[in-house]
Amino acid sequence: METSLEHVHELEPHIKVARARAGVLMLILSDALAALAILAAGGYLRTLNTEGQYKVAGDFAPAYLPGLLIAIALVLSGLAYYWWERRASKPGGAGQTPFFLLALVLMLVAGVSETWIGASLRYGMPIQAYESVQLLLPWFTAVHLLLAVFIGLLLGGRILRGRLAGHEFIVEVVGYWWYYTVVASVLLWLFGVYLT
Amino acid sequence: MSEPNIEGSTGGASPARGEPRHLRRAIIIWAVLSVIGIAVWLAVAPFILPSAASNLESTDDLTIVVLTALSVPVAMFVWVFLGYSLFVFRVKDRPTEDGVPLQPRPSLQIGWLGVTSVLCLFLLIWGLVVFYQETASAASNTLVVRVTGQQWLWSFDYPQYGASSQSQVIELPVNRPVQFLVTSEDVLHGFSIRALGVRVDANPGEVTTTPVITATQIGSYTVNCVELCGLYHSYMWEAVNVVDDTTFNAWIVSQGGHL
Amino acid sequence: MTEAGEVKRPGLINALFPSVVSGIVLGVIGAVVAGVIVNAATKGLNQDATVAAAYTGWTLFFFVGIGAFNGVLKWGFARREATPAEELQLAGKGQGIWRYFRYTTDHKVVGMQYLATVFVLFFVGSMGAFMIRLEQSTPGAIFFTPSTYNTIVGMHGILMIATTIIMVSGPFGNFILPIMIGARDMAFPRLNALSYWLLFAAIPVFLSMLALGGFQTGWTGYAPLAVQGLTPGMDAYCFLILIFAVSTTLAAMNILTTVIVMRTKGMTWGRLPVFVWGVVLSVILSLTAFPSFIVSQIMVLMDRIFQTSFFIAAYGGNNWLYEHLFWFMGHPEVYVISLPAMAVAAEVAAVFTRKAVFGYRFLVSGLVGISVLSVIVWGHHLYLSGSENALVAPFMLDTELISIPTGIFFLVLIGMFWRGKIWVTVPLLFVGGMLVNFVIGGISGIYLADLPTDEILHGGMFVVAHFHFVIPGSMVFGFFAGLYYWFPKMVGRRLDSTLGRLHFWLFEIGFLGTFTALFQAGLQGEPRWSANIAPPFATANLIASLFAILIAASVFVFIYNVIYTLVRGERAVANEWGGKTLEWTVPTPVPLENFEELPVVTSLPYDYGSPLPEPVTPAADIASAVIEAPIQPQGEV
Repeated sequence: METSLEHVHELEPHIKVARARAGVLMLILSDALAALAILAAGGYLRTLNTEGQYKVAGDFAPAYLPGLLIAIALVLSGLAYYWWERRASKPGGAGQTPFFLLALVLMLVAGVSETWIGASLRYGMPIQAYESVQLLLPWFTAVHLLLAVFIGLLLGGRILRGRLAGHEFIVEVVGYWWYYTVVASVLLWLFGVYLT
Repeated sequence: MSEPNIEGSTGGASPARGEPRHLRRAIIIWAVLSVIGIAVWLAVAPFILPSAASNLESTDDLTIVVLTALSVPVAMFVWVFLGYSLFVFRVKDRPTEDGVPLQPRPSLQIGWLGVTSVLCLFLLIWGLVVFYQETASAASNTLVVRVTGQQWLWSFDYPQYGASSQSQVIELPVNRPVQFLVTSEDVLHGFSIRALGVRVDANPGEVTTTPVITATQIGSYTVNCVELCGLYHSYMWEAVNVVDDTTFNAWIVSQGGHL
Repeated sequence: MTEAGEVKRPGLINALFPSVVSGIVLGVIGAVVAGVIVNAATKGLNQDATVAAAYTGWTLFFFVGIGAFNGVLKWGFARREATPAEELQLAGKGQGIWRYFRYTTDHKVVGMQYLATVFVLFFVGSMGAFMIRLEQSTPGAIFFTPSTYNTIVGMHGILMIATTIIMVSGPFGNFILPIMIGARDMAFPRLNALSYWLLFAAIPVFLSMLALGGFQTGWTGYAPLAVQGLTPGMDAYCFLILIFAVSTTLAAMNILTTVIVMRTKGMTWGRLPVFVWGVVLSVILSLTAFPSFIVSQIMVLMDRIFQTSFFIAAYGGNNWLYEHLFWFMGHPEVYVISLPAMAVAAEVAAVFTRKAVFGYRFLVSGLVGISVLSVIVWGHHLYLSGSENALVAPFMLDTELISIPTGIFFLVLIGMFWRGKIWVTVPLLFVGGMLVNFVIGGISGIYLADLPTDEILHGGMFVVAHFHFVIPGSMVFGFFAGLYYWFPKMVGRRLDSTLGRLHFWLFEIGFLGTFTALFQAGLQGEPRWSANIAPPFATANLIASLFAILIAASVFVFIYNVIYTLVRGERAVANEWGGKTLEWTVPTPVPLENFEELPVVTSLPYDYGSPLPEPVTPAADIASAVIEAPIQPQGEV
């Protein structure tokens, strides 16, 4: 570490990598606990079935097929990112940018579709507990997918500007969040299907 | 904290001299104050705790007395050693030398953990025993009272007699087991009769039950609400009358019930 | 900008944009626009939706206005990385006092911002407390309507809870902790600024509660009363929680990463000062605890805005769900509050008794034990809810178990006082007060942990007295110990010690009187949240209110002390107390880069009375590090 004032904010490379990893993993932990809380809430309400009103005749879940397609798109997005990451996270690795773009586009499509699912769920009043959970799941997922898209766009900006060199750890660390988003979203969708 | 339990430093002033003297003094002060404290508590307790009007309340009150009596030596330990140190080891203004470098021996640490664990275990067992006593099944002549909380009053039914209290008053026969089934019409309320040791939440959509209690003392007590339920939460006061059997039967009939 | 390191003094426009001023302006515009749009879209029928939209607009545009997104967008789309000069400018170099009003990344600036905010929040919260004591001094709802009273109680509660959560980790965790571990800044300086400004952004949301009819649920926000709440003040509460929870989560992540990654050479985990351990364990707990709280508030908002039924029994919801989600956070949260304050007490005691921590590993393992256990005891808040009666016994077990590691803390602190060279300064007085009060607070917790006693005390003033003995009576005392201890380092001036003693004694005597009387009221059966005090409890409440006047006096003594010191106080020296942790080896005021050369650590900073070498090399001549100290903690202007 330098001693003069100008170099206050220069950190050694291994510290930059370590802090990025630690920070993202902690955010993933926090977010995963929120997702778990939602899952636990859904299961708990179902078990309690208060006044027998947890789910009544006429209650429906979001359509199965769009959810399935989104899940598939997400898995493909994760795989595409992984394919890109294998090359891009090595120092000096150019990666295969089209795969990154594919991952980003798939995530965008999934995010937009998920938002559309959430927005088009028209539940009639009163909304039973079952439907309440089914409403929360796509919205929670949509927010996370769009957040991943935003992060992807930022990362895409760096790639376009050629600013990945020397910062390859960003690829790995964004990857953690990317895979987490994919896995959590698919799990939440599966849980929604299970509840039905 | 006897002398063998404390390690001194390898060099520097010998910590052993003076140590037994201070320790002995502090322990004596602690013992004396603890005895006095327990005696004072036991003398004062009947005036501080409201009189118990049920078997459960008696047990709970006894628990409070015992817990407090046990707490006195624990609290005195901290206060006496802290106070003694502040008086005896104090220096005026900035000190010029360091304090005696004491570190706890493993035997002290283990001993301390042992004592606190024993205390903890005692409290736990006591609590569990009382808890399981409460979950004992009801006798055959248990009176059932259905309590419904709403914003901002309580209503009471006696399903065994087909009676409903018309004036938000509970009447209970003395020396007969009673159990409350509690629910709410709107938001969370807390059904509580302090004198009988009865307290349980009133949840909308659920029926919660109190332990079976037996009122032991004729008199007038109060029901109140102990979960914030909105505007007039602190006005949800109603009366509980514990009366003899004849009066109770007459009251049931007057509230539309059949015996 | 001329050369790297030299930055031109900003003109007024440069100072104002971006700054808190532009943040507020844009935030208000954003709130109004979003509110108007949603109001039109819902034809004015859904007040909750309008209010929620307004808060979302406020938060988003406040951060646009204060320049928080600049760094994010530059990260992705700028042509090059930030130059050192730009980083320094962001850290407040060359901006004078204006740096406290901007999105400044220097951890010392953030620490001071937190400190000032904590003072303000404590003051407002205390005013709420005095209003409560005023109303409760006599039977009947005389001074306030029940609706206003419930709002005051709720606002006092949530304000104090939020403030005590950040009171040690915010000011001292930010300002002191990085210096104490030998770092130049936090791991994520921009996120650090974000954490603080999120807290700031939550304040107008909090204040708007008053304009929106208040809220009736108290600080715990229980549903379904929260869903029923007819005025939109309840939505303000939910958003306050959401913003605050995000702020705290980011701060937790930042502090934890800093300690993991940026300790200086030689500072192993086994040589970490106790204060750092306390803060680290506290933030780990908050990382795990806050997510369920966030989810609970999202669900309440959904029930209010979209008429879902997470908590409405008639449609399959259940208030037990809220209770579990809330208390899963609510219990660890009191240890988030307590652990840093307890660690401060140990840290301060070492310096003023001139003794090592009496069993460093013993204490740390005690703090770890408390942390681990605290996550699995939340059910004791639900003993009487009717939910999971089968789990009462296990929850009783592990709740009682927490008393064991807490006992370790007491033994260690007593061991530090025993045969020390005790210099009774104001910080140490507060440590002593903490120990006295924590005994009562901790023991009274046992009554609530055991079912037989909880079933006559739950929901009553005994609970209130218990948690006041523990939180303000112990942990806020720990905060004041840390404040009087670190104030000379952070601000460069000495607080008057006579006024400090007066503050302590007024506070302690007033506190003991007020809350002992409330213990008695609780034993008699007085319920909580009583706008209308019933006659049997009138005397106890009157006594409590009279003693509260002393607490109020102590608050004003303290404020006077702070203001007087800022204006005319004596300059402090670099190592005011003879402490051995790293922050006392740097000059006061602390330079922007903290250390000329990063130190190398060779042992714990508690080698009092031992012939071992100094814990830090090189041992600078402390007396020569005295510099003419202006208020700002940075040496260069």
